[in-house]
Amino acid sequence: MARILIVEDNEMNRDMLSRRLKRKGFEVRVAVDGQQGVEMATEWLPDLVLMDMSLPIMDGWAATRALKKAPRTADLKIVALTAHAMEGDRRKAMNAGCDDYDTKPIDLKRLLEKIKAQLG
Amino acid sequence: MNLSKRIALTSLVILIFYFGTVMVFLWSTKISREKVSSLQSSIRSQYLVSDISQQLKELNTRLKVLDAVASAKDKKELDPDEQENLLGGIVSTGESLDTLRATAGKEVASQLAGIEMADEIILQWKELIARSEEVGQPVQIYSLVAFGHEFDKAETQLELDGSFLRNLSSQINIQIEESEAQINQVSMLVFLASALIALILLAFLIRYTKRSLSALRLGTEEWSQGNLTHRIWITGKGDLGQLANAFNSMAEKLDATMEQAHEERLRADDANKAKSGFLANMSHELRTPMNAIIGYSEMLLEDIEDGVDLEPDDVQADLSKIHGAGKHLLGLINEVLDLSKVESGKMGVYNETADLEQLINDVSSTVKPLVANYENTLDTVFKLEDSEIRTDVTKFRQILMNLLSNAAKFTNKGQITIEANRFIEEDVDMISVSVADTGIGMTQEQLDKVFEEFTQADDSTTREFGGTGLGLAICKKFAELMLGRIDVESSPGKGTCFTFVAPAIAQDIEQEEAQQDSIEEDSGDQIEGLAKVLVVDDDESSLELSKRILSKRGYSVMTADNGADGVEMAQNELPDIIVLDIIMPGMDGWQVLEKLREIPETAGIPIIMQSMLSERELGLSMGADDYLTKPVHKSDLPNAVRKLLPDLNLNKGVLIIEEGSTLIDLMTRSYGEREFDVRQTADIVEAGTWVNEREFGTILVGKHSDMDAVANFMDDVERSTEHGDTPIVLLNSIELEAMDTDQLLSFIRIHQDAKLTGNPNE
Repeated sequence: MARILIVEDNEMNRDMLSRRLKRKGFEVRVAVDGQQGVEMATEWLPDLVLMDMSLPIMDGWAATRALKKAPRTADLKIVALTAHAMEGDRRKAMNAGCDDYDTKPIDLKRLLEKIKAQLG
Repeated sequence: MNLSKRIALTSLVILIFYFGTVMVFLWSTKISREKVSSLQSSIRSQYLVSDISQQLKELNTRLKVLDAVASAKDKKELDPDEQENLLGGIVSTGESLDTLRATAGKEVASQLAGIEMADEIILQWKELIARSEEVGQPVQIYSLVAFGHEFDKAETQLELDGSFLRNLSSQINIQIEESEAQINQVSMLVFLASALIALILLAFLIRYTKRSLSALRLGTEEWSQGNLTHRIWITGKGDLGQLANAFNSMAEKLDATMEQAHEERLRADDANKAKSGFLANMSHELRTPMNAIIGYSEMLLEDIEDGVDLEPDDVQADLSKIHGAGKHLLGLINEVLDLSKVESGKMGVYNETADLEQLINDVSSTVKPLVANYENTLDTVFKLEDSEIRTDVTKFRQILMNLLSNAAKFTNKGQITIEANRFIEEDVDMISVSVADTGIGMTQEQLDKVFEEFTQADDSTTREFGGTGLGLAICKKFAELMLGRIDVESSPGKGTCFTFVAPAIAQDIEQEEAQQDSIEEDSGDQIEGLAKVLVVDDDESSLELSKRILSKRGYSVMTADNGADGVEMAQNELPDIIVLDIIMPGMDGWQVLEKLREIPETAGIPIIMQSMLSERELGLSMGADDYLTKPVHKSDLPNAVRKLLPDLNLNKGVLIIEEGSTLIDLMTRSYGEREFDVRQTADIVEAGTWVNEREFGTILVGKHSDMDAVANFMDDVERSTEHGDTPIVLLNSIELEAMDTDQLLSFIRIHQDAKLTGNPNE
């Protein structure tokens, strides 16, 4: 089954999303900040990263750029998952190198479709 | 020098030269006349000289003829006729000589030797003739002829004199010519000089004017091209200089205005940016808790749909997360509402007298659990000589609560100290309340942003400490509304100290202004028909003020700006109460009062007199129901009106049933307490007694632990024939938390109005 890394600083959101994805049969791991996210992604090489953008230590945009730059993780699928839902936020995420973008509050059905599309 | 002075000076100089020319003309005329007259006398002298010479010659000839005749006839004596004739010629010649002397003038005459000689001859003749007559003998002809030689000499001399005079004439002629030339020269010189100087002055004048005008033109051109820093430079303090100064100051003002407009635009841009930023933040902040609420509730729903055996503990954990996120959301919305109220100027300040020490103790006891949660100790230090203050207690509480909960959250096993001081700052009695902690502190960078909206020390702060990031922004705005401020000092790792400073005795003027600002919008929400008030006052601003104050309280206000209209309106409209000014042109307040008391329809309408005159006794004795002396405090008039409306007042009673003080706090936060007769109890039995004692306009039910008793009470009231139409409003905790004073008051007004108009279900 596909492996998903959730990078999310909000404890409730992390808990909720990881539980829901696990129920859908994904193998899920979580990171609480951008830096930890990069480290875990590099080490674990998941099939997909769900990346929050407002993160402590290293924000989601920087983490995405770092992952896309490093040869080892350059091909990682990264989906931005953020409460920044204003005009321009999508472009900002895509410019940082994200493969797709979804907003909070999470519509699980929509998110699953996006995950499916990324995983091919 | 100014333009008019320059023109005046130039004209004066030209005038002086003109005068000079006239003087030269007069001088030359005088000289010419003198010369011409001496020429004339010289010419006349010539004639006279030749005349005299002629006469002498004739005399000589006649003598020679006499001599010849006498020799021929041998006659030796002169006939008396001849003698007479001769004497006549002699006298006439003598007269001619006198005339010549007079005509030639002494100076010239002295140079004419012929005159002397002729004189001599004439004199001798005269003597000769006179002597002959004395002795009575005729004049001997030979004695006369003896003069013949003298005659010849005199004639020669006279001829010489004649030519002398001719010379003199031609000399004078030359002189005349010379002086004419001289006069011409002087005249020309004066004319040229004056023309030259006038030209120079005119040139200066034109140059100055032209230069000034072109400086003005250049200046206005520069300004029209947008270069407002350009200044027109004109020398002197004259008209044009002043004009330039006026232009300059205009440009300066224009420049300042443009600058201001520019700054305002920048500010507006900034505000716009801030607003967009705020919206983006707001969207973000709302989505985050929403994510938890939707996510967890969907999970629970899925579980139920899937028929999963739910562990109560797990369900409780998830539900409490939903609950927590919901509460967070509500707090956020309330804070945003507070903030937007402050920013739109609708946040009023409601000052009341309070005891500072007690206030602080109340708040600190409320936050004690939170303080204990992080194992902190809380101390209070009071350095107050006088603890009585006047302030907006609700805002004061909110500020202090916020500062204290921040201190508690960011301090672990530390010390929190509240210190209250009272001091004089710039002649104003001030209080300060500081909240110092020994917590994590802030860096300078964090300090700079501490009062900004949606900023917390860092993003992880929310995760660790919760909060919306609006609390301090609101506190700062509240402090400013209360004419105070919040200062902050902090060092990372050592702790933070927030100090709230405000006037100890707050003035109510600001509140009046704040209310006035929002009156236009508010008036639309007013419930009409509570009572009709007629205000009669000739002073427009006073009339407007009364109208505003009363409208604000929900009264339907009519106005009349003179006594006669007031009486007419009172008769036609039959208001519930009349507010009457005394000093008015035409029909004054006393006359209006008298008239209104005479008319049967208006005789019973309560009248409040309102005047600068302190004539309370007189007013009341004349039949007024109340008397207010201007200036009237803003709450005096509505209070006086309310007192005089007993029937309506009955329905304005509000009964509050609640445990705790949420509703009563909301009611007493503003003038609501004064507008409505509010009674509060947590005891259902007592509430029942009160309801039976008197009628209430509205019954509000807030938080209560025994909801069954409350339900029974509500049923009883609704079923009773007497009070069945009294609206009972049950407010749940969510409504209570979201409601503010204004909402509550308009809520009550709507219910009361519905009751008054006999439409209780409205």
